[in-house]
Amino acid sequence: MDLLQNTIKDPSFNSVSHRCKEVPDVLGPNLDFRKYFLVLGDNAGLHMHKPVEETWPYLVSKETSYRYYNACIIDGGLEAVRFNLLIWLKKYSHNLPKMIYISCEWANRFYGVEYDEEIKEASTLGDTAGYFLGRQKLFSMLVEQLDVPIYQILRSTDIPVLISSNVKNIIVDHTDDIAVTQSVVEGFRDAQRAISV
Amino acid sequence: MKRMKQPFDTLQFVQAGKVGDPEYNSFGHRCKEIAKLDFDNYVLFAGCSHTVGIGVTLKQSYPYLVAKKLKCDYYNLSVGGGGIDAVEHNLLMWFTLYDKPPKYIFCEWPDYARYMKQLPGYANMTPAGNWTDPEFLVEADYPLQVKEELVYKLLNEISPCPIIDIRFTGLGIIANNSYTIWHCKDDIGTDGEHAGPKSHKATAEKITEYLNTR
Repeated sequence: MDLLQNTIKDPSFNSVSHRCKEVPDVLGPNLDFRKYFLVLGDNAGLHMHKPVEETWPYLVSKETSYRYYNACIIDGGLEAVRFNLLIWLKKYSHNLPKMIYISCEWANRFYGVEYDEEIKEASTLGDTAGYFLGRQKLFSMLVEQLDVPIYQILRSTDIPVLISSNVKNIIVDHTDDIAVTQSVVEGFRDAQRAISV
Repeated sequence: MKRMKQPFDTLQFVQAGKVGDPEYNSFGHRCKEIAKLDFDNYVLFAGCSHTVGIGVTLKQSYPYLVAKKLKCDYYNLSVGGGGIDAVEHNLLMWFTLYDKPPKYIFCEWPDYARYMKQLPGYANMTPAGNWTDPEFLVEADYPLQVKEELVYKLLNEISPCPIIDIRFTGLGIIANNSYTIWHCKDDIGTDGEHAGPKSHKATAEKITEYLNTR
């Protein structure tokens, strides 16, 4: 049962082409380490132009002392988020993440195809025909049934992957790793305080 | 992944759209209510109008005949006019809501060039295809094939039980292997378009023969 992988090579990727440590390094050798979060999305959760130490998943992990697994897929869109979320929840159902962060700069795109002129036209027609909206709606209906805290990191102009009362939106410029880290950590600490009260 | 929050909320599933017809349950699915299903002994069906059984009576439809032969209960998630999106969503929702797995899932894979859209004024999703957006479907043929392969892979990875592939036509990319069971139109149903009772009986026999060889 494999997650979708990135198709490019990069030294910062693990053995299955995800930009993070190996699964046993995150979940522990018995896959039972609980203090971890899952990151899903596309380029917005990877920032391949920066060293991994400067990206928000890494910085959030450092600030919160939670480990993380980054299953973001370059140009993966909604389909890659959905696929990797569902596979992860199935595969590690005994040890679900404490929270899930989704950040997608281009949610409404086809998965696994090069965006040449023809596909761009198809994509535009898909928007008009309600195709992508339908995929978003169906995914949202499914996520309504999950009880893992899900946060969506997006700009106010981004098309969201999910529209769901079960998902908390963090409106921030996801290209700014420091700003994302501050917003996420602030929310994380508020949640921790609420739990301790 | 069992997170049952609102197990009988009708907006969870894509509906077959025949709510109110006595042969369809409150979800618009052509079978008994979920609350009455024997979760200890059941099989699941998903597909489009062919598996809903349009053109034949409930007792002539291949889901009914297969369940009878297997001596078990069944639930039919099929959606008339629905495509891959409807099949995928209803199965994923079922896996999410219900802990007890079926013995088998019989999945009739519909045309990949169908999808679900939401129309103004409708609470639930509406099937769409070449009768609604032909230009989009011509341009998007390849990416929709890629999506079909992704959906097939996801469902087979997530499913808690074997999925038996059924197809009505040979046009699809997926589920076109030596294990595929073909639902052929040997006769015509009462609607003048879909397969008739003889065809459903033949499909049910092919399915039970296949299960006997497993």
